[in-house]
Amino acid sequence: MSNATTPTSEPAETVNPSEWRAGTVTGIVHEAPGLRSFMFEFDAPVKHDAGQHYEIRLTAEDGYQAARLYSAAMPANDTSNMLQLTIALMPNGEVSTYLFNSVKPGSQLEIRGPLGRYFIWTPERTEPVLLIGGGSGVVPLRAMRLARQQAASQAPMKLLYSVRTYWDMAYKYELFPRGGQPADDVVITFTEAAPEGWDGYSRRIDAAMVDELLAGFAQKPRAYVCGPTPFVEHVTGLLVQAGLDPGTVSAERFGSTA
Amino acid sequence: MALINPGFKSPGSRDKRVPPGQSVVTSWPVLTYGPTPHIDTNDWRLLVNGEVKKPLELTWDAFNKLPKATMETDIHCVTRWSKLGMKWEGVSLDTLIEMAGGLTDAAHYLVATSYGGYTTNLPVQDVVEGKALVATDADGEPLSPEHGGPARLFVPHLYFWKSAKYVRELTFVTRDEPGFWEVNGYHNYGDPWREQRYDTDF
Repeated sequence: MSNATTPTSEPAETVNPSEWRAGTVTGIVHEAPGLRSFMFEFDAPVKHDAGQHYEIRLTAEDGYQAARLYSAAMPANDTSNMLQLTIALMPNGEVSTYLFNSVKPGSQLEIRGPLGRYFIWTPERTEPVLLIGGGSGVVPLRAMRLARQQAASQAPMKLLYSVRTYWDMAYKYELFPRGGQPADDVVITFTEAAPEGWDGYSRRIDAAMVDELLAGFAQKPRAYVCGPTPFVEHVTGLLVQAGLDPGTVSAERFGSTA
Repeated sequence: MALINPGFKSPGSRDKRVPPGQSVVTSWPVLTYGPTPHIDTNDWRLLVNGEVKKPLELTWDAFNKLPKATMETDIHCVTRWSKLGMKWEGVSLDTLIEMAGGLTDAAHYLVATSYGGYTTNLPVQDVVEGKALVATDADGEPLSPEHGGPARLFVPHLYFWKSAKYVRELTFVTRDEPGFWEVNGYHNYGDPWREQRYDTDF
């Protein structure tokens, strides 16, 4: 749908986030079982803040449509036409099932965005930041981490990634290079099985772990927490108990209560 | 004109209760922008103020002595899920407005404020004449904190972010005041049947 009221003062290449655009799949990365990154190319630069999301819409021949929201996995810059969305395969998920089974390099998909302006990090922010992701909840946080690197920001930032095993990790070679150690600004906790020789955390996030992380900050950080609903309820509760002001704890949840 | 995705199939017959672009869930997803506040009902208050004739403050006990109303209806979240055929119970906003002596002529919008500071805005005509509750129960169970307990605003004909969780204050105002999501990229009104999802949607 075109928007006839777009102010003429805006640059011509400004994209209306509500408008569906065709993106071409240029690559698919198998991050982990049930977790894939889809690389899309558009005919105009992709612009968003780290943490924002996009919608993918599928249309059947009879006109039936289904759409889902996915977080951008990388920050934008002013020139690239590329967008990366990292997508989890959901049981009986009509959109993710199609994406995993039927989409290949060269496929075209309708996408719109960026959407949402709350769960975002921008390089103007100088306060310390604690990012905590559970499972595929790491996706928007990875975009924030890369946005900080891209901007050469000096804002202290740490990522805590709670994941079942090494093989379930997304972005392994970036966050935990094989045979090496996690990147300096990354803390991992393996909740089911740790790799051999691992001397880091291997348990669910608890109050002691939160205290240890917070002790690494000179002042109280702003926190971004993303993951399944029970994970986010648990972790945001721990952060508030540890003394963070609830107004400085941003959350993004997916899935249901038990 | 939409691009057709080869091999993507319609699920067949579609329930007429489901607005466009929504998918039916049987579970109940949770979306909240921050930590869930856990409010002790001993400390809970509901304020009805602004453009009302007699501002009102209710304790949990006083609130629960008011006549209850039920709504059997569907709920629609902007994140594209709908949950059908739920039964909600609470106190009608009509009852609360009446207890507050009625609205003044200057009451055109409602701003609902939650514990934790969340806000959302609605036109007055969308919350009167049986269209809205301050709800305490869903499907026969008290609302859990994750779902907005002890009590949430319930306005099911709009996207569900308008049904503010852990509501604390209902303020009637003259001029519209966009709330939390309404200033963070979401639509000011939020009609699911017109897919008013984002602020750049029509």
